[in-house]
Amino acid sequence: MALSFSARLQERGFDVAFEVGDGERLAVLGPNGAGKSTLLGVLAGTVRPDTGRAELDGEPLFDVAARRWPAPHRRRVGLLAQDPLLFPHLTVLANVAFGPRAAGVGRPAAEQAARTCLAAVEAEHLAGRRPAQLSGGQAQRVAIARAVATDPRLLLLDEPLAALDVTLAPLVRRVLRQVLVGRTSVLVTHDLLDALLLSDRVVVLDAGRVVEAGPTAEVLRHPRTPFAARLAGLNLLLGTAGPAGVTTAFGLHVGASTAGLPAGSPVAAAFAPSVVSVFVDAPHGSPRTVLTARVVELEPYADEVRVTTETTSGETVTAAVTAAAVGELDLYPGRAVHLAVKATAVTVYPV
Amino acid sequence: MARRWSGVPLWVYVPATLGALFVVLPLVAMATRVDWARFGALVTSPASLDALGLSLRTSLASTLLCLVLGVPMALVLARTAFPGQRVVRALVLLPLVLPPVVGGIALLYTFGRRGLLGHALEVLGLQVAFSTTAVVLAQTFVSLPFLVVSLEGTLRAVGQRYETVAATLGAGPTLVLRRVTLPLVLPGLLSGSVLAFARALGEFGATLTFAGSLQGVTRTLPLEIYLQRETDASTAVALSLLLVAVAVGVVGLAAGRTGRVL
Repeated sequence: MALSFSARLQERGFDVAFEVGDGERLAVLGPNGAGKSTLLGVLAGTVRPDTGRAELDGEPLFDVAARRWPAPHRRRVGLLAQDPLLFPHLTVLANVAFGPRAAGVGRPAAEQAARTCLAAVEAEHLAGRRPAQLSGGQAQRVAIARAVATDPRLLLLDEPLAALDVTLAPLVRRVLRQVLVGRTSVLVTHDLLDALLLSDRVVVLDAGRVVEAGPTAEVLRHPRTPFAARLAGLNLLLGTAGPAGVTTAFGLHVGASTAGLPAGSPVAAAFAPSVVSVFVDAPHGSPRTVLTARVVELEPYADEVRVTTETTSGETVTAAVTAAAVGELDLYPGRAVHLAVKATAVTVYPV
Repeated sequence: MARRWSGVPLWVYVPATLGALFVVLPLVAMATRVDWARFGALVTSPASLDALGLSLRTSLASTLLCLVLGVPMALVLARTAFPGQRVVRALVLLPLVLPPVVGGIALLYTFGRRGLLGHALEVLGLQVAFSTTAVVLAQTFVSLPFLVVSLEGTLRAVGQRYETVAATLGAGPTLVLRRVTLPLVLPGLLSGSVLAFARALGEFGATLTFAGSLQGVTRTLPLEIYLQRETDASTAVALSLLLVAVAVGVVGLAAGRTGRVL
């Protein structure tokens, strides 16, 4: 076990525990205010919990009950934030050499180590520049080099790609993927791609609690919480298994194969927006589930339009349609529609 | 430079110009009264040179004292939280609004022979009141808040994020202060020091009350000007102009260094 963590902070309603295996990269997902920043703060040592302890590579990182609460600079826990936060008065090289210098390494050796780290993020040619002379992507790559130059035991990443232009993010993401190999890391993100490429496991936080945890691919394929479902771009209905489908707490029934699931057991039904068809008049003679709903919102998404609807029973279901279909069907918020979902396109799994 | 729409009503220029004239005109009026033929002789008389030298030395000393005491004060006020902090801040900034004479009296009752600490100081063989030390203390008393206010504002504006990153890179608090915080707030530190120096240079009331007016020991330039005004107006005017020149020089130097005036 590389990292085990548990902490409680009454004031912020924070009560979280999780474990991360050796060399595993953890992603922390959750809506704003869920406790992600608190989690990073407790690990970094800037937010002190009421109770809690964490162990890193078999050594205690902190243990509040045992009065062990090391200051941030004694933890060897690195931090990469959304903004690069390069020290503006130092050159790129001096920025990256800052950590080794603080650890007592002599200037020549520290600068040599800094050059190696800069090379690893493809930024060696920037060594002599000032942070103000860098583009956003360059600055974040230098910040990555600076964070790993101290060889931290744990690397915290706080939405490291969120502030970057979409054209710059891919290179930084690739660099980050390389430096994270074999490193225990905790990544806070709102981005599906970041979660898929930069983590092996995820925990989903909501209101200061872990509401979902598991291997990244598994959580995103079979989400159990609305937040994870939204991130994965899936419709999620939680309910109980019946002989030919799932019935939600609101009484909505969705036809699906429930083979192997005991009747009445709690299950989730997930389906992509692309398998939801939208009709103005009720379709007939179809083996599909037909739901009556009302359009709530229309939102362009890539080359299609996401139609968010609320069913008469009160569930939110999103459909993906073409822009042309929006015009043909004359869709607008408030419009009554029928939604059809093919039973074979719905995945049902126990929760 | 492209001319941007300012959005300022035209009539605003009238009071704005009046205000500028109100500040500049007296300086011009004073300059017209300078006896330029004797200017050199007037400002290089022994009494004048004594006063100028003393003013520069004491103002520099009090600015250093302001830095030694004010930087830690600003750090504590900007970065920490403790009960009664608002009250402490208000009290520390009190000299900003206090008449300097009152400050002088307060200092006298603290460091004077019969003051709160006077006896203890006397046992140590120190007599503070009516000495050059008293001048420095009086100047520090009135100029300290300028440095603290200016620096505290800069510290808050810069924020703590750089310091957090430095700490996660393994730097202890003293190293972070030296290598990250102070370089980041350098402009604020510089403008605060200039403000403090300028305030010390102009200090009159607290100095006169607490330190007296002894040539070469406690009679700073403002005191000398006030004294000369009674007997020799042309010397007073010449020295006033000198004081203005020194002040403008200091502010100009700081502006050239930081790219902005205070």
